Amino acid sequence: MNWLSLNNLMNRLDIFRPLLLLGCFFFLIPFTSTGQNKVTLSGYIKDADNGEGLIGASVYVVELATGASSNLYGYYSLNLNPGKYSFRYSYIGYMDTTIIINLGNALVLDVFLIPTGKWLKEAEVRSVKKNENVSSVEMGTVKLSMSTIEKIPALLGEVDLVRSVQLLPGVTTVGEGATGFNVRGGGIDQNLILLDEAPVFNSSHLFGFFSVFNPDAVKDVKLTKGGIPSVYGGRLSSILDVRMKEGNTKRIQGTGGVGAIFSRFALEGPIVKDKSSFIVAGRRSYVDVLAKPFLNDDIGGSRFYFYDLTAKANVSLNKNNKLYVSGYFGRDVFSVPDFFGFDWGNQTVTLRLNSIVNRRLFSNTTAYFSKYDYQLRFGGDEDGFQWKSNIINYSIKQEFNYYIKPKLTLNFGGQSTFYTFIPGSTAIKQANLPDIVNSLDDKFGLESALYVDLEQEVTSKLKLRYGLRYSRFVYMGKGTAYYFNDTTPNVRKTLAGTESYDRFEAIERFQYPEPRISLNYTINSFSSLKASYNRMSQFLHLISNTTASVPLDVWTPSTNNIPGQLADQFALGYFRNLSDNRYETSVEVFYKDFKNQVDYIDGADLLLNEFLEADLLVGKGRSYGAEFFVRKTEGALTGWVSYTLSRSERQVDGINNGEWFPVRFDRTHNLNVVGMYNINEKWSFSGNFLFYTGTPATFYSEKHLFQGIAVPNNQSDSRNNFRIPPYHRMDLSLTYEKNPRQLGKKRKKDGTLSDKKRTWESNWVFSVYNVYARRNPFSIYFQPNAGNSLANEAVRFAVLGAAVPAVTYNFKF
Amino acid sequence: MKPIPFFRFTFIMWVVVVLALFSSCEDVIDVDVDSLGPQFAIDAVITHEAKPQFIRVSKSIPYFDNSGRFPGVAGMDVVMTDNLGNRYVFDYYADTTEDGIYRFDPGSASPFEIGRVYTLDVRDQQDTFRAICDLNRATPVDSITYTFFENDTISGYVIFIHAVDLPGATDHYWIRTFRNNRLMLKPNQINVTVNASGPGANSDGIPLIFPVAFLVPNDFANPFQLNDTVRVEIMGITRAFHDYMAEVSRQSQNAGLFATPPVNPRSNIKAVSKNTKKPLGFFVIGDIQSLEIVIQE
Repeated sequence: MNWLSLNNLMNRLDIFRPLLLLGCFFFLIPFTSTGQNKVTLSGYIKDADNGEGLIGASVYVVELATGASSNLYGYYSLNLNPGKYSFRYSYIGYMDTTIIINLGNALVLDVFLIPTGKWLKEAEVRSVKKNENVSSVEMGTVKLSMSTIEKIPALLGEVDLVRSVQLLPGVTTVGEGATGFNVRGGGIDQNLILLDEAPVFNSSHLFGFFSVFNPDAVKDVKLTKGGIPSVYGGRLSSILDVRMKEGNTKRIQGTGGVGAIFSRFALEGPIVKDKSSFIVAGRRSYVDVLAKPFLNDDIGGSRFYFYDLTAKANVSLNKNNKLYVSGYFGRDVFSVPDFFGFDWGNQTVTLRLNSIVNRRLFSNTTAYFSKYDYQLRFGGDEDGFQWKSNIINYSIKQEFNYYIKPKLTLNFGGQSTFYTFIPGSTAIKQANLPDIVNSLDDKFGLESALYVDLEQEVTSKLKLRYGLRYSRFVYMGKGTAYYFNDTTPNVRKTLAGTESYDRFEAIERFQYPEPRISLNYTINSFSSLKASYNRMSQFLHLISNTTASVPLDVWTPSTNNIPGQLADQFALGYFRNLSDNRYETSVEVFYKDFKNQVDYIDGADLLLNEFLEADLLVGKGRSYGAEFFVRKTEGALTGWVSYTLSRSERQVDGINNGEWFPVRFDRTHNLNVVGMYNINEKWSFSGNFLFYTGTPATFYSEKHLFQGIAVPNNQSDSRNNFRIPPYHRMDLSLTYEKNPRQLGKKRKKDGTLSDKKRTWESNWVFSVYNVYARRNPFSIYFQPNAGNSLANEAVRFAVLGAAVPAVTYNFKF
Repeated sequence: MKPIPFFRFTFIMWVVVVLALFSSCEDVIDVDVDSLGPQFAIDAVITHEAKPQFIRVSKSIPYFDNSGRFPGVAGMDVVMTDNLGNRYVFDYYADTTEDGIYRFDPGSASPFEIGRVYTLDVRDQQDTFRAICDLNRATPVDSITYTFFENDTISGYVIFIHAVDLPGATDHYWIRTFRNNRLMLKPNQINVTVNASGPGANSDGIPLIFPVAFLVPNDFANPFQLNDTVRVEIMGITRAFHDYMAEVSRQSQNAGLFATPPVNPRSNIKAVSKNTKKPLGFFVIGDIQSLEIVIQE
């Protein structure tokens, strides 16, 4: 097509239309003010020890029985009639602070809350009822603090965020060592995993054994499975929002540890005291170092390690503007010189500006870059085969929180993301000959969204959060669009034709309005009913047909042959706290309907296939279930019990004779018991027990002889027609806190000794994973007998067959 | 790209590492699977050579029937025709230790031609099983080189196949290695290619790439020894047969963390009337090029 054609020009403008619409939003702002002579109390709620902003801390106006909570950056704002009020600031794990203010004029008040620290004191200090889980409108949401995650017994003692998330209700995984997690029937690619707002495409090191998040650098983790507010979009099933620490603004602090797999170290501290700070955290595995003596000469030069580096800094530009820069860089490397090499990893860079536009309007502007890539090499550098693939995205996001009045907050904004995909690029290298390079066309997409979201307390009994997200995706050139003939489902489609498109020219467009609504009906101070509906869309697809996703799996955009995915979710919940909020309990039921789910024809070629789309099938899915959750958050014994009864199914023409079949990660029963017990100030103990129904599997029924090979056959063509035995496991760990050691006084610049002493705090963690050494089957597969290739046997494959003990040493100074 | 065995090879390497790291374990267990009864299976690999050609008709057996006996079927009419109307009748061949074999002897010259389309009909009283296949060209084996290698436990020779893909079209090859006249047929030695590599790479007209020429044809655990006869045959095949063999290979080693859902290799044989159960197996006809060497010091 001609660059100058009108149609072409329109297409180009089209791409930017959501941005133009976003502009319109700014004009709306002045008209939404509430008038009257109200005054605003606003500021940040922070941790008194290290100056970190506290997410979701609450301010309660005692006289008005109303309040607000801090946003993702710790900012809060209340708009009130002038008068004298008692403001109670509180946050779990911190001492409450009540401040009485005669509010005549607008006031900015940054409040520093003191962590309760030791478990003993917490119960004593507690005076206020913490019933956030009952009173908030959120459902399908679980927040885990790093201090909780750190106590959960972990594989080889490595504190792991993603594996901890797998212990929550509604979350499953296909098995040990599998990358990612599955939420309420969704694939692993349907989770939006955000690290400081930048999406992470592969959350694992070494497949799924360890997650890419360094526990020393993470502040807070929140998983949202349902009632997803319209600020989030782009994935169907969940949001895992990982917030990095901002860094201690008071003093230099180091944390670290030596474990079985990783050694890690993090350093944080002020750049300008109380104003700006930084944190740098790194980890590296050293299996390769340990394994070196055992590798013989053939593979003596082989390298095998993974590492990650996380860094963040923030600078207060002035009292109303704060700038954050954060980045993540991680990689898994495995190579044998002159034979083969394989490495993959994520990179993210986030730049964020928090602005207090006025006391009631908070703005966050984020720009980020995120990349996942891998490289595979066979043979040597001079003479071999190389293969690369990646997905890159650049995004800009604008969010506003507008605190209209205590009972009404308006959140609105928009986001635009530009994607580039390199689905596969190969080079065949031959000595003394030019390289033969072959690349599949790069693919491009632009995803844009606008959202409005209102948090409203309609009456003292009824709270609402509702909004609309409008998502739009343009699959665009430069590139070639393929058109295929219709065929029998599950047979490779034949090419009907191709068409070339120019740079930025739209090939296919999708637009979905996504309504979201959540409501809370408060029965009394300790119980409530909640309901939610949300629609989510997704324009990225992870092309993966293996039980556990492999690092080689390729991301592809929605195209003219792959429609955008959609999910509608309905959920109902009853929340009740017992014994003075010591126990939180909830029951949630959900039904989720999936459209446009990608599946694969038999024998599909998913990698390096120019005509990949000819091998894809599109079907629908459904998932429904009930989640029961009991959590104890205070006292010497804390922890939770979660039980999920659910079913997740797909229906795809051409697979399983067109009938519904359970997905590979479907588990009917899913029980997690997690407990942590503080024996005394020195010793603490934790344990967990898991029971999951076995995953479904497809079994062969007959075999026949072809060219001397016994070829297996599943005559009924059914999918997932059997269940493998259940998975259950217990892990235990014991933590010993050593007495803090006083380090020498720090010398100031002028040579005098500082007043403050540093202390060296440390602990030892002894853990045993899979205590009773159960051989939990990851899968049961069929294979020819080693001695007689015409005979067959069923093999149980367990990733772990033994108890795995580990010792970890952690320190902090 | 999974049909290409060398990617499988990476996964296997990875799995080996994971196994070593995490003491994973595999053990044989009993599983109850009901068989749905036998189906016809046709094994018809016909080469463009002046050699007797065989087709075997048998029945499938339950998956865990480990007798090693796949009962042959006698009394079928087995006829191959080409698009010019030539008929080649395969007669039941009783002079054998195996049953269900049908034979056609072309005599001193193969009557088949590259570029023609062949139809195989296997008929009994109830039904006709039919398959169609193009006779495709094969590329010559230029040479086979070998080198000695040894480590703590194993010593022997590994071979490297030198052959260049025929330029100008997308060719598919089945590369078979025979050791002392025995076909090496472990599932991970099934070596099928698109041109000189796999379906995705631009490898028209170039030498077979490293994995195809070296990694797959060798049995590294049991390398060739002095005085072994090594014959390499390259057969020109169709895309459908390439996919079939790739699937056979994949299904025979579909294990571990990265297994794909078990699926049936897609047969090109159809029952003409739909009343009969789907037949299994494959009919392929192709040109063949080969080279034989003896490993010497």
